[in-house]
Amino acid sequence: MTDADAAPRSSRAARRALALGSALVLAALYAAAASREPLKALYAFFASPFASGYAIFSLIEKAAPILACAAGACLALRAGAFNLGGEGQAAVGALASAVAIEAMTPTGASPVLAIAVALGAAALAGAVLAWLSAAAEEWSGADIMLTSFLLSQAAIAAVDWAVGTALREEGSNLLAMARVPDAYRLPRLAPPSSLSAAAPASLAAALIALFVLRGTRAGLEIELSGRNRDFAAAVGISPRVRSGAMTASGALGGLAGALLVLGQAGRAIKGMTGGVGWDGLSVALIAGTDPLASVPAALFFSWLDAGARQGSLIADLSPDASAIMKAAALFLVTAAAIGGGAARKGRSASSRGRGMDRAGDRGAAGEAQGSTG
Amino acid sequence: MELLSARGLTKYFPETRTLANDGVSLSLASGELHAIVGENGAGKSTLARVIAGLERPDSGVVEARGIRVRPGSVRDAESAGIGFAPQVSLLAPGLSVAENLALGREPRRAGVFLSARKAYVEAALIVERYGFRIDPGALVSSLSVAERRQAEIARALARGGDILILDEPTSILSEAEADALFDQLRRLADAGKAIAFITHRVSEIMSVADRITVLRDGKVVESIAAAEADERTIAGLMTRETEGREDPKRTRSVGGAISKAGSEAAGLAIEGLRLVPDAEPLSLFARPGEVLAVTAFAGNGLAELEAYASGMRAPMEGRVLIDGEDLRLSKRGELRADKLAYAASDRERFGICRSATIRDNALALRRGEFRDLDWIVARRLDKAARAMVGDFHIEGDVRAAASTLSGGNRQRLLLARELDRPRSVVLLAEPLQGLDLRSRKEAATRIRAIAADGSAVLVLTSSVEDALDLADRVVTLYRGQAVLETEADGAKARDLVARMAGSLGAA
Repeated sequence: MTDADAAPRSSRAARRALALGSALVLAALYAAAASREPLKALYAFFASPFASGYAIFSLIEKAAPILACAAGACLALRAGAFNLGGEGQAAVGALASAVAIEAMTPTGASPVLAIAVALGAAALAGAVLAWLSAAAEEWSGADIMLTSFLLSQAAIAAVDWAVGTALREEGSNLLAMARVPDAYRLPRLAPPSSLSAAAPASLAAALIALFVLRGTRAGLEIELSGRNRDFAAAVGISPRVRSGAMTASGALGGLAGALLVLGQAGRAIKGMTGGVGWDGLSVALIAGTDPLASVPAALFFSWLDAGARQGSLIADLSPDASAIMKAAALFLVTAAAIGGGAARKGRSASSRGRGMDRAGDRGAAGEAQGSTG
Repeated sequence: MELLSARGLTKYFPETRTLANDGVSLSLASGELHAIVGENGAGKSTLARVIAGLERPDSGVVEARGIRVRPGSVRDAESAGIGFAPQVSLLAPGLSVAENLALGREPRRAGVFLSARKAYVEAALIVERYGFRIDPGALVSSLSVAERRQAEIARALARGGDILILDEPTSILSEAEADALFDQLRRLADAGKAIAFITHRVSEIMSVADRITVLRDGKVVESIAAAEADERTIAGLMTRETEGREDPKRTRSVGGAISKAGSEAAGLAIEGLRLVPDAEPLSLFARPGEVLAVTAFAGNGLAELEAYASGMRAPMEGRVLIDGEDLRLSKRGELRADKLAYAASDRERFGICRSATIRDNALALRRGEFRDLDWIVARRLDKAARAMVGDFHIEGDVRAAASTLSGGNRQRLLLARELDRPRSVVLLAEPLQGLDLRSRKEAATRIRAIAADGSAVLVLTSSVEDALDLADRVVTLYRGQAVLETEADGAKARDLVARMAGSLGAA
């Protein structure tokens, strides 16, 4: 079931591009059908996100945390761990960075130090949350997909309570913690747009993930663990590799939360992660678990968000349009990846625990656990 | 009366390029207990599956009671009265025996509702009539292995009728359980059923079967009445006797004489491993510089030995020592890179990562040798992989996925990785599988060379020929116990097969 691997890279990319194109056509049809002023809606959805430098920069800024989550998702997926907890990892990261800034503000610490500590705290918080799932799998064989999702749901509830109740700024009308002092926010790169250092930071995260996967021994071990766990065990690759990738994935999710707080939002707000973890996972899947391909995919998602926002402001589109479009894009791209493989070999690819188009050696990875213990 | 007649069954598997059945004919008469024997890969299971309609033959005819059965249709085979019990259980563990018997042909109430009571009654009738000792209402998951076998056969009876095809019904049973099962089968035969069962335990069939058909390389080599045959003849028919190995003096039986050395010694020491429940623990030792082969038929502990000796499974009792170091306590990553080579018999699962590149497969054990920059530029990696691959005549671009290689090439890729350098212990399970004659010779040469370089080589194989071709010494296992240790030179395949099949009569 290694269909996708046998296909040349170019044809895979072409199939993916075709699927994305189809998603756009669907988006256009939807925008035209759902609106009483189709032309206006089309313009708002497709063109207005690029209408000005301001709009473009905002779009890039909004893509940054998605990309950080996607880079993390790529690491986990490559190792065969389906990390469904990106949302919660981002939430605890956001809270950790906000708390770190609040703690350091009275000390008058230098901005560089404060931001570094906040980012570190966020990454650590996300990493711990993800590690719990990885450790649970290592110890008791608990399914990472389940535990990461459940832990994440619990974490989101806890973070919402902390941000909206326990640590809420007094006298504020928002369910939010205090603003991050301007000095401690990520440097703005193109005021008045919201573009900040979050964008280059997330690009760096994606490049580091790419380097680890493509250019290191750890990358090979992650790759082999994800493709075939039994094989990995047989050649002496430790199950820790998988845990490590999962933990790193959580760290990047946490980082995404900090990029939100210190970047575009400027404070921790209840419910602020708003699907960034899910978007990151979708982006990673659309990009075929390639961190570099995740960059345009994250921008694509951000564009859909911006288009839907503009469409609801300028025309009469529902702001939910972006969710529909994202779902269509994810569906079409993964269908193209799986379907392409199935068409060639005449059977469907198993996608358990890995990137949809790089289905590994066998679906029943779980069955191996009993016999290799 | 002849109930089943199969004629000229031929089945070719293009994926593995094996002609599993080559014009096989089989006839089963009412009241007959018919044993089908042969070495692994002789085509026994394929024959059973073809008759049961699970495989579609390329040519040939199956007739039940003189009526032709549509090939490749389980439903037709069943309605023609052919019931099949496969080697691997088909019973649903969460359902009762009765429910399992009724699956797919459930009795209905008012034509719609499932009638659990009718199902129970039907199952109870079968159990009662043929004297099975199982409770039709019991959950399958609560049954013992032997009881499950009975349920399996009851299922075949319920689904088929007068013709039973049983694939290795006794392979996981103890001797007493197997005896009880044969009593059961005898009663069924006396009741007029025609029963064919597959086995490679020659010893157990002599007193039980009415007729014995021997398969070898997909062909029927003999079909004789059991009364006219003896164990040694049958064992001899099962193997192709190799020339020039006639020196029976050097074959000797062993009780506890399997060489033992001190635990500190270099090489591989297996101490007190229990391979099969209720078997005596096994100890054996592979010295540096020699190739030791352990050979056994499936179900006699070879798979367990592989799992323990490779460290993939930790033994409950006993231990495995590599150069005196307990495998359980060592760091597996380092051990695999430095001291233990392991070519797995389940190549596609443990031996090769199909979706990874040929390069990554080749270098999987050498991953510590390269620096991070090497992985980016990849020239050094490709070069190293190309050298390994070229050395073993593997055709394929090292950057292509291993799945693009043929089975033989994948096996060579596996051997290329594991025989790359001498290691303290070289564990090779079915190392010659899928290789053509030339590659076999090359691989054998390399395996001997790596032993000559100081590795202790342990070959695990169910093929006596492979064992004799590769090894200096051969140990045969039967029911998890070493029943024979012999020098390979001069050993006769027939004797080894006889001992593997449980016969005590050799040499």
